[in-house]
Amino acid sequence: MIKKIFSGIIPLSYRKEPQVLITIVKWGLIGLLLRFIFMPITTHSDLLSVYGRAFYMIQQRQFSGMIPLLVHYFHTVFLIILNPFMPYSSEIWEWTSRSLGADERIWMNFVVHPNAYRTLFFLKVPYLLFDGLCALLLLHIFKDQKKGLRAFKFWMVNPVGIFALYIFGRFEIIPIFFILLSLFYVKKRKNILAVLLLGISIATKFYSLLFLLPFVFVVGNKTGERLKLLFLGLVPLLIMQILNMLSGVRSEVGTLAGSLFVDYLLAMRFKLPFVHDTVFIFVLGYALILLYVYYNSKFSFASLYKHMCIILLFLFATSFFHPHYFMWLSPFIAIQIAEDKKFIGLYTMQVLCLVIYSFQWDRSLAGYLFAPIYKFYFANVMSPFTFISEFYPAEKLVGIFRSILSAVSFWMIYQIFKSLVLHKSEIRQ
Amino acid sequence: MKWDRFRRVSLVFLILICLLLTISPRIYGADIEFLDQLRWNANIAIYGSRKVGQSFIARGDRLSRMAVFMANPKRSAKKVIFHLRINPYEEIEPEELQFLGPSVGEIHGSESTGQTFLCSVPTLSGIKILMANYHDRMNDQDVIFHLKKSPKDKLDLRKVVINASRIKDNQYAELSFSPIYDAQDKFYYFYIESPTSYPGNAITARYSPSDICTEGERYVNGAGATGDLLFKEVSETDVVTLDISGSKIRHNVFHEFIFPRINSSSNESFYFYIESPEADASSAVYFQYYDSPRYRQGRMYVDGLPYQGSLTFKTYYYVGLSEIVGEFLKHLSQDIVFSLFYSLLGGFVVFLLIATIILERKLKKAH
Repeated sequence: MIKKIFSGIIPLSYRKEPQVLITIVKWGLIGLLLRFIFMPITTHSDLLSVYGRAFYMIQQRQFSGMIPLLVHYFHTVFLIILNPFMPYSSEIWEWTSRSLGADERIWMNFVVHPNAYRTLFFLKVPYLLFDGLCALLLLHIFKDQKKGLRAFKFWMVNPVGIFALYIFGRFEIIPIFFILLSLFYVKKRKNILAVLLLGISIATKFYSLLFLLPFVFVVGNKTGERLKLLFLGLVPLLIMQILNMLSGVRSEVGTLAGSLFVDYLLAMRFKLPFVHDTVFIFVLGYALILLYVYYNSKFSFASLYKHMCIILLFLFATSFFHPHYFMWLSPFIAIQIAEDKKFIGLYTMQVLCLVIYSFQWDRSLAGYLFAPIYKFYFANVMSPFTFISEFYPAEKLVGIFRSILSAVSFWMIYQIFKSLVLHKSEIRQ
Repeated sequence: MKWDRFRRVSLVFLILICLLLTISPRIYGADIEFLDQLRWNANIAIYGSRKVGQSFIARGDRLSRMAVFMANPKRSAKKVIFHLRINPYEEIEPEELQFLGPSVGEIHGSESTGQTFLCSVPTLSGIKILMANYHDRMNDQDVIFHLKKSPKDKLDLRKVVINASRIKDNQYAELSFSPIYDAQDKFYYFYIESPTSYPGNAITARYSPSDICTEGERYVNGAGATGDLLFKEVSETDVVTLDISGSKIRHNVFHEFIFPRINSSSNESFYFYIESPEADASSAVYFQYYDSPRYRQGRMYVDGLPYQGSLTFKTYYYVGLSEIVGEFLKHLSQDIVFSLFYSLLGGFVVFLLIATIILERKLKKAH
């Protein structure tokens, strides 16, 4: 019976043995339980902001002007589906008539609403669906049962994923889903579909743009094909740009260029003492990775995801980032862990460092997240940063662990690079 | 192989237990911190007979410590005395209150109005009750104030008689009595009556329809009623007095004054001040303050006189696990439909998980 239920969604190789199937169900349920615990009781103002803008789009019937537009379309659809479960929703989004972003006051007013738990639970349900699809995609990517199971288990209990999606309430899972789907189709050699899916990911979250060139270099063989893939990868973003340009409000590409995210990438730099001469570390490293891919790439799934993983690890090692960004790494680390168990330990070290790194956001990434439980306590409880400051300068401690995080990231880059070289020599042989 | 797994699981459990022990004080309750006033751009020296202080409204129950931003540029080691008491200054006049509250009606004949409360001061020497005389009407009958241990107690601990003519319209009337020592954290009950008054020649008291005194209940004619009377405890003595050496005060950091919890502190107006009688101008410690009145719930005082500015300070209140859980359940009960749905869903997932684990074991055995 169990086999029948899962015949459509779980690949055949996993359905052969009932024990494997039971293991998948067990870990799936463990993951679901972990997610259910946090779904109704935690939030950050970002969740309210993105859904607030979606509510504004529905109310005002104004379907452009929001950046990134595609992610707002997704949330608009979610909200239209979820609205029947929240008959009081106009009360919740009342603030959208004055502002398009939820500030601390709106956030703290929301958490005491009598239906706050129901609202939070339902607003996170779409993320749960994408999350589940990602877990299943990991099973589909691996034909080897052992590897697939390892990646699946990791995905279900990955603390960074649970934090970013269900505690913080960010939509990071949407671009991640499209990246994973793109990788899945790369494995099936459906390159056009794969690059279009990567393009959708770029249109939902701009960081995916960093993957487009490595994708084009690895997947495309000749210059003509590469140019075609590059163009197709940018199509979804261009469509959104046109839609936004028609409204005459804001430019998608212009916003991308001027976004804070770009500043984060360019923050680590060497300023040379002449005119405007500056060397940006991230750009330097990214360019080196691109050159390596360009001159050494041959079509292989491993080569593609490993290069993507290296780019992100380099980003986290050298750039400022918000803790929920760390979830971007999860799909690649899941695949990498499936290939090489030792990455579990390295990733655990990264997560521990990330916890301390997140202390610098003080109360907003500590008690505030749990304010729906009891606002009076959680909005005022001392943050770990203040607590540590009583004994030792907390900013130094954060800096120390941030440096360790960078070191671990560099070590992971080295390990992946080594495996990449090995993989290439194996292909040659 | 099994031994390896056992060791690994034990290690994980050990780490989890250590983590749990480390964060356990945070789990069963912790001090919460209110950043009452954090700006500063000036300082004031404390020495000789000078007393510098600030009144404030406590944001919650169980006030347990205060942190005041101080400076000690000359590393003075002279004695510094911290005092905390019920605010003796009426900086928030009843007329300024946004909401006075409805009146309990004329108090006359057999009618009485009262209130139970958990005393927050060590020595109780009076009660101030927000009363009214119907637009400065001339009332001339006696009003009797009784203080008891509980509404059922027959014996009066204190009894005060005041003529109604002395009660002003919408003002706190102070009913002073000989001090009751060791009163802190004990329940008391007071009520007022005026058997000789009659309609047209009677006073009234004002109350809040919502529950503002978490540890007390309003009474009308000896029976419980909703809301709370608007009242204040009076104490001529300090709630807290702490002597510390000036050497403990570091330069330009928040100095914490820790004292036994004041259980019933919520919405109470307190006043703290510091003196350093043995110090002179060259060995003074300093208070950092902001030179405009940023903190609206209180005033800064120097030698008992209002001063332009607000001291830089934070207050801390203890919140226990039972309160957190209680409030969480209260919030959850506001949406019964979702609570039921969530519980059923969670229960179903747990049930499936248990069933899967049992099935997995059976399959393993069969193999």
